[in-house]
Amino acid sequence: MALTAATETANDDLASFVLGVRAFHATYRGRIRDGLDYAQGAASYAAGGRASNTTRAWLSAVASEIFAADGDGNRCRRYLDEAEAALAVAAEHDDEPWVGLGVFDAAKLRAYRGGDLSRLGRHREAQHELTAALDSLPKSALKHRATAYIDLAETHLRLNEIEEVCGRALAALDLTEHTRHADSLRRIKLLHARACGVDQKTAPVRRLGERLLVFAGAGQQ
Amino acid sequence: MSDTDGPDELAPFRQTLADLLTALRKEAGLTQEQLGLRLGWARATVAGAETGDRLPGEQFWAAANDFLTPRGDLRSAYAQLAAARQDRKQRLARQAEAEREAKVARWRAAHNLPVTSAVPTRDTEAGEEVRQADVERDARADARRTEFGLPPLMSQPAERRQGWPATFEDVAAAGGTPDVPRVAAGLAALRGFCAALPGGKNRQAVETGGAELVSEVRDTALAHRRSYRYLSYEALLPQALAHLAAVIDLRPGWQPSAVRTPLVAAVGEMAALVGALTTLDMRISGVARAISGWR
Repeated sequence: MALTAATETANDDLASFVLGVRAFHATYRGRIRDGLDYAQGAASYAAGGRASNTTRAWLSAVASEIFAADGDGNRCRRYLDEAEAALAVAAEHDDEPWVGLGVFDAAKLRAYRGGDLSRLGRHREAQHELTAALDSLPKSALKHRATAYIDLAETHLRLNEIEEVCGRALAALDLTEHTRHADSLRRIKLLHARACGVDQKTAPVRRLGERLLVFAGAGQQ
Repeated sequence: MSDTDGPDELAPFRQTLADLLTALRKEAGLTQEQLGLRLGWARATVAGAETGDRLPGEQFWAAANDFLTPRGDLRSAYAQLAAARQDRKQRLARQAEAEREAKVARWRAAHNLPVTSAVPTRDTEAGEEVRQADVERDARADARRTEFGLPPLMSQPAERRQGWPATFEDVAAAGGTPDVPRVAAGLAALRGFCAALPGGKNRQAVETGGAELVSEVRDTALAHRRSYRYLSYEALLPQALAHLAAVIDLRPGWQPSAVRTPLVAAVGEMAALVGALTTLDMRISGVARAISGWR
């Protein structure tokens, strides 16, 4: 329906945004190749049409994330640079409000960069970017902040810093209790399971497990 | 030439800015890459700025000015470009409004409707009514904002005012409950509007207030999209579906293009939001398939 509406009204901005969400969806379902196809297709569609600069920036960030998940650091970097360049001109040139969901700005792009670095195994750099992103993301961006905390927790997990993993995961869980974002919750549960695999007896791991149980219980009421 | 500046009365302003940056960078003995690193931007951004192909925003020029020169040359050159761009934007907006008017007039003639402005502009007699309606709407909005402890709309700068109905951020920042009061009000207005239409003649919407209708629909759709960042799917999904249904009820296909295009866009935006909520937030792709045909 969204794509049909976009086509009928020749709305390149909406059409490329829908393709971007499809890219996310395919990737979340583990179909990274499909995700890459959608993301690249969306980015080139947006570049050839009349999509806004913010949409172009967001699509490039989405593509960078999928390339990072695929282990392709060069293309990831290229798309991040494109995102930055498009976002730099967006403030001056985009007249209409962004067609996308939530917000996409320099802080969110920084969070993408941090998440990408984490997926590429550059954990210390990722921590620096994600911490800076969390400092800049507005408090009201609950979903975006939860994602950044989870990405940060994953970098600590790779470095076996279990106390930090649990601290960040708890911060993400605080936000996810409000947003009830399913994929965030799935990732927090995964973090807990992996932390248990390293050392399930420590107090932070137990505390995270208890909070997850309480959350699951609240959801069933 | 940048993406949107067009051909090209702004070229001299852009060229001045680009040349100035190149000269100051060279004086400082830096490559584009080195300057980018110092400023925290990509080399491509610096290169785009120096060729004038893709000029970055004010933040870039302020940072470059502060780093490269104590004088404020870049800030002042950028301010001149921004002013010229604003003038041009206003002129183009006036032209576009005139073209829209002409299109609506042709549509009205084709449907044997009286030749009055369907979507009145601020320059016509009917525009006075629109202005008055704006004032009254702002006053109602101010009353609503006061309930949430927000500053009055009337004191906001013009560009802030244009965006205000869309932001739940203010409500959240003021400690209010993000229970989408604005959306509820927007939907109520929309339903009242639909109910007031003569049966089977929704296309007359354009005669009875097309501009206000479109404004309500777009503002409400924007509010839903922005509130995605903190509302749960349980709160947002019913609102998005209700808005989708309300807009479809308006029979966008029966409306003249000036009204149809934004209505169909709102349908698409809400369908995309529903798709994202069901697939990304709820992870139930069967529902998304049913609603939006996604794979």
